[in-house]
Amino acid sequence: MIEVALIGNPNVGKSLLFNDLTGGKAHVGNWPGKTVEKKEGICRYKGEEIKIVDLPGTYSLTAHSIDELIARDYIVKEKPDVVIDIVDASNLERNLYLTLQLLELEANVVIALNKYDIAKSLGYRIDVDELSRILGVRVIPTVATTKEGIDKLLEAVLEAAREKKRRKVTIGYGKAAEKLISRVERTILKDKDLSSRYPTRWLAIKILEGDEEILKEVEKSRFRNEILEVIK
Amino acid sequence: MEINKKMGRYMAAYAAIIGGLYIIIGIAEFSAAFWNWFINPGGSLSLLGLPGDDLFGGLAALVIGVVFLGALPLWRDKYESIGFILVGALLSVTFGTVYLLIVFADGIGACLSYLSGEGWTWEWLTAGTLSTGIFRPEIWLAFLSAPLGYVALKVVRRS
Amino acid sequence: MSVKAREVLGEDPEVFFAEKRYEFIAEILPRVLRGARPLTLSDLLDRVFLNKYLGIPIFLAFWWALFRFTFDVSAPFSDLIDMFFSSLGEISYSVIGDEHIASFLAEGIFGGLGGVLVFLPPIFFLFFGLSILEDSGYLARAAFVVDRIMYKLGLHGKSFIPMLIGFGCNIPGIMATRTIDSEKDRILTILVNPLMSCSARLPVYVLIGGAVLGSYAAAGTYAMYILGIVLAVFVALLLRRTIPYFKGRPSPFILELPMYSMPTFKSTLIHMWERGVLFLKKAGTIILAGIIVVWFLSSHPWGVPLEETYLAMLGHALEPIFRPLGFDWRGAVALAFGFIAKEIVVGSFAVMFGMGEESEIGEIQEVIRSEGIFTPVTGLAFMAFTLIYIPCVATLGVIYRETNSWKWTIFAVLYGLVLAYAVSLLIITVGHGLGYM
Repeated sequence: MIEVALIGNPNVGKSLLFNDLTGGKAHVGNWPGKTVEKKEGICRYKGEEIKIVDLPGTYSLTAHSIDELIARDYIVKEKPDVVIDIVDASNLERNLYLTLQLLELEANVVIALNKYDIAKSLGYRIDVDELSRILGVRVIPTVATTKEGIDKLLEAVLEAAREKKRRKVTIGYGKAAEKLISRVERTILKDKDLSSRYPTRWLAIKILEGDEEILKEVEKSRFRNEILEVIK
Repeated sequence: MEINKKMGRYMAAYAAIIGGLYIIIGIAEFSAAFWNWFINPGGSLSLLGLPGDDLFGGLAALVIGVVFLGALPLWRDKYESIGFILVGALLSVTFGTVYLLIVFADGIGACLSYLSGEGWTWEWLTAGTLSTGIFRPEIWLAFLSAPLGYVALKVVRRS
Repeated sequence: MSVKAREVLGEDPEVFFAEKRYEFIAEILPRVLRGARPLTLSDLLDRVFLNKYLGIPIFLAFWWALFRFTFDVSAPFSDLIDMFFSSLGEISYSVIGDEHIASFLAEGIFGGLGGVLVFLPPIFFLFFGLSILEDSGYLARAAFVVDRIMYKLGLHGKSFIPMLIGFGCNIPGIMATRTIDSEKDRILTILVNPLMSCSARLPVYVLIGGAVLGSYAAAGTYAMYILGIVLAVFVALLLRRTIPYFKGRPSPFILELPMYSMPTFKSTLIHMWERGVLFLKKAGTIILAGIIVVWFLSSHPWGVPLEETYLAMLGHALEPIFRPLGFDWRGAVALAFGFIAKEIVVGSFAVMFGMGEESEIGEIQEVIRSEGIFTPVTGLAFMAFTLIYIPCVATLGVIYRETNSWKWTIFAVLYGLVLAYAVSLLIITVGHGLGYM
């Protein structure tokens, strides 16, 4: 069974897309220990069974709110096979912020470029191939309200799930920042446990950002003094 | 997205005049109140016949004036600046309406006083909470700004 | 927080990384997105409302209009309600033989109801105006523009709306903090909200200010509002620096900018009604109860002169605490009742001077002046004390409900008392030091 997580900004049409994919049958519960709703559903495509988990809608993946933490923890701990990032085509600039964070988390991203019809009616022309090329991920235009693009989306999801090697996209943060990141990464690698649980570059950046939840994790490490030396 | 040059110029000129008036009123009201509160407390300075006790009202008028002036680039066909007319008119009408309502409220208050035995005066209409009652310029300027705002809205809607 | 990292990066690392990401997006956008869409009405409005220089002044102008609307236009309606309940009181006296029962009805019940309902007009007007600002979509822009400054002051941009509402009544203000995701920021906003001078405190300023500040009365009242805001910022920054729980910057603020839409009269009325009724239910019952308590304490033991009532006993017991601040036993009693509901403070003064609950403000002010109960300096200190000391019981109840912790509720009470005392003392010392009375 292929595990797929659904993520995106609020109001991008995630619920609608979830329904399109699962046929509206969902198992609703709560995220463990939280009052936030968790929706799961099954989709069958070309003989494959795909489990779809609906993550809370967020603008980013910081530690500042429960929704973000739930989404982030799920991706890091459960390591879904594919993460469908639903991007509002009529609001590209803001939506791409979350996308960059997902890439940094080294999630296996497939972008569903939703509300494609609205973007077109607003006069936008989006170069889907170029976007795909730059970000290194598959980008599928969709219109959740009419179910346009759903098949192509599922096709892309299957392809992504089967891929062995994935091209990672990193944004450069400038010479000074990159030096800092490398320094922290090197100390992280000393801790086999930490470096196996989290993508190291992402972890380094979070530590530098002072992410509360991550810092709590690092505090438990034997190497915490070395790792945190950069930021003390 | 196109407005012909002439209309742009008319709007810019109209906005400049209204903006200028608001700025003058704003400065007058603010300065008088500032004087009466802080420099010569208890004083009753009044500039241009405007109230001398409305510090923030003066500042508000000043802001409205500056917003209208933001529409000046319309003179040179810069369509984007038409938003300043819209917001200026909105602010102008808002204050005009609120001030008008205050005059009415004073009127109701006068009725209440009358009903409880005091004599009837028209003080509420000519003075009242706004110091100059219905003659408060912000009320009249609102009537002047509204048409400008309406026209601007039409222009935007058309494109 | 990353110190070495901050030096290298030149700013707060979290901000640095966020900015870099946006830079990246800005770079790739032109390669990916073609076709500028024509400027919509929404774009044009945003250019002005979100303008770097005019954004905040425009918001302040709207806020001022809202204030004028709330207080000046609602005034006659409040007076009407006042008059209505006073006459009901008078009727009770003429109709009912037993003076004791008549007094209970007139000053207790009708006085109480009147005392609560007289606040309804300003509250409804405030929420009416606020609903228009909110439903039109403007308030979201204002919050965005204000966020820039609030972030630097240690407050989250989303706390701006609850604080704005707090100027009407702290109760709905605190409930509005539910929109803040980060628990830390939320609790901080809740703790600081009572410093927003709610509409119930205004009569106290008017009473005392008008009585002893002479021509500075208006300035004094405005000063209280500004003092509240300044203290809110100060307390927010202080708490962030000192209490470990709050350490760290406010979480980043990303607010969805809803579409502009023309608010309908009906929907505005509905929102106004919902919020107003909330105030009525939560605060109304407590205020009514409070007024009845005041009546009871001030008229019993029955038939006895004012100085020998339970009220006076309470006042004299509290007096020593307040003597350094120059408040006498009557001020102490008024403050004690202000704990129940700030709306009662003025009424309790009237009662203590032996006047009816519904006396004219002018008369009460005369007594204050002639008996020297407050001097300009002590009067100012009293106003400040009223602003700061503790939220009324109803508000405390809401604080407990929203924070779900006795710890924070008690903290709210304690820091309020301490801060109030400190600030009042400061006013007294500075005032006397400068040679004022």
